[in-house]
Amino acid sequence: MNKFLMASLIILGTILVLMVVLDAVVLSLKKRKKLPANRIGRYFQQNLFKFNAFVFLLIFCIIWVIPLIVGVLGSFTSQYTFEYHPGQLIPEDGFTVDNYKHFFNYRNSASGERYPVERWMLNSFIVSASSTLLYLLFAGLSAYALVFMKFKFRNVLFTFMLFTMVIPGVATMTPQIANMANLGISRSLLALILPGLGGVGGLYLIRQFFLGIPKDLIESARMDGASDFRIFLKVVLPVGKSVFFVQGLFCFMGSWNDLLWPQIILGTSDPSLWTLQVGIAALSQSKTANTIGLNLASAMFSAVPIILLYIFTQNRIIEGVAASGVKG
Amino acid sequence: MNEQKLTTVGEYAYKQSRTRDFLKRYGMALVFIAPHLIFFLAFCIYPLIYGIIMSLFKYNIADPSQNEWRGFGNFITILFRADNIYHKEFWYAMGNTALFAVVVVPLSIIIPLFMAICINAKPKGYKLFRSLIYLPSVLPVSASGVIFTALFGFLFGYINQWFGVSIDWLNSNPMLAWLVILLLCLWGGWGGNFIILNAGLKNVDKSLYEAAAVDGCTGMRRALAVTLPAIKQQMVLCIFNTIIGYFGLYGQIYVLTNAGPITDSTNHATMSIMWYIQNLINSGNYSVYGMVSAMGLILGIIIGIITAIQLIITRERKSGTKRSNEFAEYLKARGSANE
Repeated sequence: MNKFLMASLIILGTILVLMVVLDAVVLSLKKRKKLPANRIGRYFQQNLFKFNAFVFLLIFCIIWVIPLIVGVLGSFTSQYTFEYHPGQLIPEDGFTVDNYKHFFNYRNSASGERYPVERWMLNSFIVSASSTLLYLLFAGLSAYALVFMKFKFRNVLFTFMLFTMVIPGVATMTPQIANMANLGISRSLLALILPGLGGVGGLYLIRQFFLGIPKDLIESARMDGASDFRIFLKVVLPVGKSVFFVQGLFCFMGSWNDLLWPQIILGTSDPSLWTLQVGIAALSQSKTANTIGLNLASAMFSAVPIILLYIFTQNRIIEGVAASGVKG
Repeated sequence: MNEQKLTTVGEYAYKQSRTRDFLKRYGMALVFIAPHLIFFLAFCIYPLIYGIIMSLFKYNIADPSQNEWRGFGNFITILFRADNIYHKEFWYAMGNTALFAVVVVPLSIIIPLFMAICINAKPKGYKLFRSLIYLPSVLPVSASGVIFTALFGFLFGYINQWFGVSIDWLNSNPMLAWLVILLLCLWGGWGGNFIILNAGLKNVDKSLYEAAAVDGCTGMRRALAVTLPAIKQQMVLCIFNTIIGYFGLYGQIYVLTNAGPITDSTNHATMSIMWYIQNLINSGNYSVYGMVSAMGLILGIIIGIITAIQLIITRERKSGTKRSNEFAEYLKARGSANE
C-alpha cells in the first residue's frame, strides 16, 4: 500500500478518534459541572456540536475533492508515468501539457481522421448559449403575458401547462426523434436547441417571481402611455434580473451537461456535429494507459467552464436551488 | 341590390371592428405568449400524441410506408410475452434500475441530511464547505465519469495502485461495476438534495427548539420530533425527485461500463432502462421505434404514478395546515367569546 496514503489515512483516523475522546471528556465534565471556567471551557460548553461539525466537514471535504484533484493532476501527467508508475499523483518526470496537445491532434483509430475538437467546443457553446437566451426571452414574454395581461383562459392555460410537467421526458423522447426527422432537422444542432424552448419549469419559476412584482408599478407605467414591450424591457426586466440570471444559469448548465439527447440526435457517423459531452463520452470508451491522460484532459475541457461559472455565481446557484425546494 | 350592398358594408364594418377589438384586447397577449406556446405545443404536446399513435404501429422511421398496424401488440409484447427478447430485456433493465434506486435513494437522502445538519451548525468556513460539497453536482457526468474511470481502472487505475490491490472493477464482476456506478452517483448525485434540505433546516422556527427544550426534549428525540416534521415537505420533494431522477440513470453507466461487463447470462449486466432505450434507438434497426415508444410510455406511466403519489402526499399536508389554521381561528373565536 502506498506510504503517503497510509500516513494520511492514519492521520484522518487519529483526528476522528481524538474528536470522539474529546467529546466524551467534555460531555462527562459537563454532566459533573466541572468544565473549566476559562475561554476554552466556555467554548466547549456552548459550541461542542459546532466543533464536531467543523472537524467532520473538514475530513469529509478532503476526501470529497480527491477525484477532482486526480482529474486535474492526471490531465498533466505523462503517458510514461501512467504506464510505468501508475498511481502517482505527482509524477516523477514532472508535469506536462502533452495530453492537451494530444487531445487537439487525436485521430480516429478507424478512419484516421482528426477529431474536430474545437468544433465540439463551438457546438456546445452555440447550443447552450442560444437555447438559454431564446428560452429566457420566450419564457419571459410568456410569463409577462400570463401575469400582467388579462385575457380569457390564462389560468386554464397555465394550469394545463403545469399538468404536462408530470409527463417525464422519456415518454416523449422517441416520438420527438420522429418529430425531428419529419421537420428535417435531425442530425443538426437545431434539434438540440428547439425542443427545450417549450419547457414549462423555467416559465413557472419566472412567473412565480413576476407575481411578486407590485401590479401598481405596471399600471402606472401603462398610465404613462408605455407600450407592453416597453414595460417589459424597462420595468420588468430590470426588476426581474435575478430570476432571469438564475434561470439562465440552470438552462446553460443543463444544456452544456446534457449527454443522452445529443448522443441520440447527432449519431455516431459525423464527429464534426458532436457537442463536447458526446465527444468526450465517445473518447472515454477506450480505456488503455495511452488514453487515460487524454481522457482526463478532455474531461477538464468540459468541466472547467462549468467550474468557473460555479465559482463566480455559486451563491446565486445555491439560492436558486434552495428556493426551488422551499417554495415548490 | 342597394340594400344588400349596404348590409354588406355594415357587416364588413361590424366584422372589422370586432376583429380590431379582439386584436386590441388579445393581440398583444397573443404576441407575447405565442413564441413559447408554439414551441410548447410542437415539442411537448404533439410528441405525446404522436408517441401514443406510434406505439400502436410497427413504426419505421426511415420509410413510413412500411408502417404496420399492431394495435396494442407492442404493449402486450412488453408486458406479457415472457419468451420475447424485448420483454426479457425491458424487465431486466427495469429490475436493475429499480434495485439501484432502492439502494441509492436512501443514501442520497441520509448523507445530505447529515451534511446539512453539520452545515447548519455554522462552523467556521461553512460557506466554503457548502460550495465544495455541492461542486461535483454541477460537473458534467461525462467529465466525472472519466475521472472515475481513471480512478477505478484495472492495470493503471489510481485506487488499485494506492491500496495495492488488483481488482478489475469495471469489467469482471457486475456487482463491482455497480459499486463504482453507485460511488459515482453518490459523488455527484445528491448536491441538490443537500442544498434543499439545508435551506429547509435554516427555515425551521427557532422557537420550536426552545419550546422543545423547555419540555425537556433534547438530542435524538428533538431531531425526530421537531426537526424532521418541520422539514417534511423538503424531504418528500427530495425523495421523489431522486427516485424519478434515477429512473433516468444513463450517463454514469454509459461512461463507466457502457452496460458491460459481459456475463454468462447477459451481454449487458449493468444495463439501466434509459441505456436500453438509447441502445435500441441507436441500434440501426429503423422499425423498432413503435416498440421503443411503447416502452417509453410504460416507463412514463410508472413515473407518472410515482409523481401522483407525491402530489397526493403534499396535498394532504396542505389540507392539514388548512385544518389546523381553521382550528386555531376557532380557538381564537371561542377565546374572545369567553372574555
